[in-house]
Amino acid sequence: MLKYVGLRLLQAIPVLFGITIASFILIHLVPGNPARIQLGPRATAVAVRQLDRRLGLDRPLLSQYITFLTGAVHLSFGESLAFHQPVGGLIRSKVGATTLLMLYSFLISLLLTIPFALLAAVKRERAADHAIRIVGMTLFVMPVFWLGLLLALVFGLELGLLPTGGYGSGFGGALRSLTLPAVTLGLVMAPLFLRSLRASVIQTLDAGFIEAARARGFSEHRVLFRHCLRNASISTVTVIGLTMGALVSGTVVVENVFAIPGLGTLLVSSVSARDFPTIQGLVVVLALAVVLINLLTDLAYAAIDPRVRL
Amino acid sequence: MHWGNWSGWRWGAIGVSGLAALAIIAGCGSSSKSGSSGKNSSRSEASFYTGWTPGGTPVRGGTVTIDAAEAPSSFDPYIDPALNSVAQVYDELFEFLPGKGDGSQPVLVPALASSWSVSPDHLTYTFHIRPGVRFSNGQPLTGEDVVFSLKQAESPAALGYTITKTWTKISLAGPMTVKLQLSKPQSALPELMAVFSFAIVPKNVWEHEGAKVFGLHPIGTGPFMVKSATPGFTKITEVRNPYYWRSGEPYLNELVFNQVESDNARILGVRSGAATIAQGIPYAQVASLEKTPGVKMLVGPEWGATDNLFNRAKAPFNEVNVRKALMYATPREEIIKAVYKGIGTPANSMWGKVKYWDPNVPLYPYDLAKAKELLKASSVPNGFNMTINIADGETEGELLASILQSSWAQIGVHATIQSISAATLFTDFFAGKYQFLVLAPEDGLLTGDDPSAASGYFESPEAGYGPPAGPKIVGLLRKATTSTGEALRTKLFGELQYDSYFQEPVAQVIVNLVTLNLVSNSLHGFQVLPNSFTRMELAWVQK
Repeated sequence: MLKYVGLRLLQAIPVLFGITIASFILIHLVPGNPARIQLGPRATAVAVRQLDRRLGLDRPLLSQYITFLTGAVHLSFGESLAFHQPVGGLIRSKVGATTLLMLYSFLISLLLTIPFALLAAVKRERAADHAIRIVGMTLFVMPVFWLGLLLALVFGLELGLLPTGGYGSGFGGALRSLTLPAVTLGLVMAPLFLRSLRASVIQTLDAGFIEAARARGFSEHRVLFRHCLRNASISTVTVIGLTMGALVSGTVVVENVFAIPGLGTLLVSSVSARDFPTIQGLVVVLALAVVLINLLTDLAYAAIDPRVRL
Repeated sequence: MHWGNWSGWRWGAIGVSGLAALAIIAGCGSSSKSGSSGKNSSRSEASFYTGWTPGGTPVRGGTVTIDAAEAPSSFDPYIDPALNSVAQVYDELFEFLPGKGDGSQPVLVPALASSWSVSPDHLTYTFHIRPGVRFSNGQPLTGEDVVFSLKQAESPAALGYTITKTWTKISLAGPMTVKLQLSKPQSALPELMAVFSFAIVPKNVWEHEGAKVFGLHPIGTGPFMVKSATPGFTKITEVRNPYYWRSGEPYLNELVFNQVESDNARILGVRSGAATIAQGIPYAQVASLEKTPGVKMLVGPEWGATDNLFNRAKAPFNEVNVRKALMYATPREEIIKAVYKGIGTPANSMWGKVKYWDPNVPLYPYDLAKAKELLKASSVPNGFNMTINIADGETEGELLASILQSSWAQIGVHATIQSISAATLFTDFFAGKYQFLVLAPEDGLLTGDDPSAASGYFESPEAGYGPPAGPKIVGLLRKATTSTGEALRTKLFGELQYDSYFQEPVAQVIVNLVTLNLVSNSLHGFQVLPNSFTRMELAWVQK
């Protein structure tokens, strides 16, 4: 297992290297001089040139990339052009909110997925199944920002139950302020997991070992949760792993809708300001997160299915 | 959608009496030369909120939370474009106070300069520094601090640099007396210095810490001081400055500034009670928010007008007849109704209604026949194809661009609308790679009370108005800026307004700008200046 994890982490290095090159080239191809953007329209050419020099933007691209890479190896991404602060510190200050939001929304999506998928599978082609599928599809096609706004209007403004935005202090405050954003993301992700799990459960329910379990007199509850669900969840774990990239991008949108000071809002403002070091630092961190999530997905296979040996 | 620093750029030349005839306005603009009258469907400006709502006895204490789309990049006053969170920390030699009562005019008053005098040749200003003022760290303000601070503003990298080009020497004439010598008269100097790009900082702290560290932990003489800030300044907490020189002020214990980029999130924040003030409300939401219980939608005048830019360096926009044809083919009334929801009045000036504004400069009527006639007299008599650049996500701008597209097509000018990122738009503009640029409505390029702030605007692309204007306009501007007599300045700026708007239109001007703030009903004494800055000294919250 440890050897497998080590190997996978080693494989991540060329992936991350490729991502840094791609992101570096892309962000420099897009027009927009950070010094000009920072100094504004009234700034003189002299002022822009001075800032260019101070920020190291007048150096050749290759030299800038090597500086970035050397720093990145030491987990130092340089200084933000827009905020005049170390990028590492900026990212560290925002990563907690984003991680908590992702975990919270993932948990909510699972809490929604499991009971409704089982219900839909057990009651397949009946009213409950149709209702779950229609609601699921409606949520799935709804734009994230729109769903977020609706939830904020109803639960934040009309009912006054939860904050409409911002990030509360302390763990309790943070959880409270992240509830609506997490529900938004959870509602959007759940239908995809639900569809996959429902299909797997239906298939598993027809398997011989389920019939054998029933023949041995196990309760339907035990058959469903201990025998069927565990076997059916393998394909859903794959879907979850593949969806994590989308969760990261969904987080960017939701953070902006709910004004959460996380990595998503930092990414949006950094792109607007052409803050190259911050964008690059964020790309590396987010890519690393996706790599780690995929690794965890693989490890989950082994935990669920004893036949899988890592 | 905001244009990064462009929208936050509140340069504010600032003026003594300002805003000529705010009360005159609805139905203004009788046509003395030619063109249409200013009658329109807009709301009356006499009802505009200028920020003085004393009602009730102020309560000391409490916190006000302000949600704004932008966050500062630093508290260095000389490099960061103007933002309210930074402005609360500093004072300048002069400052504006809002007029008392809706529709009244802001007043320039001495702040850290208790008095000042000008030499007969208008080339030397003497500032007498207010005694007894202390910075937020407790140290007393001295003349040396003022000299040092004004010298910071002279740096080519500083926002105030263009204003300081006429400054030849800043010196100490006594412990609390500072002399500023000029190469040319600069009549509007006090107004121009009443923005925080001319903030006064403690020399010893700045020199000890350096600009970068000072920008993270600022010290000023303003009513509030920074208590904490998150990395990236997405949340800034400021507390009352115990040494503030205006006794008994501010009333509030604490100000919290949150960066909330989404318009809807800012509005929901105030409506749900999580925030007290939301800045930068979209025009489209003003009417419904005015009917929303629990909140007040404050619409106030702003120094400036929406200016969309022709690239006058490129054919055919280098021809006056072409630019005038497009002005005549612009359905201003329809645009104000559809895009600006009837808020704001049609603009007959490049810089909106500021000092020396002449109401008699005619507005362009919507006259397609006249537009065709002008186009016939140009090098493109049968029309031409062009591109309108617009920042993506700028919904008001996109609507405006599509109205222009359909109107101009009627005179044979076929426009393609190109939505690009704001940063790209910005860069293309300075590289001269554009034909016509639609700016966000909050992005008037002149937002000061004295048109002297236009100094250089028409002379250099760097100043933000595109290629240089014609020699007549540039000459008039130079003369008006350095003239000293009020009568002469009124005459010269009037001529400049007429020429740059009606005779040789430099940019496409549509509507005078407004400030749009949504506040909780519990907030009192909230003051908004027409340069979009808020004064929080007298703000208090009902418990």
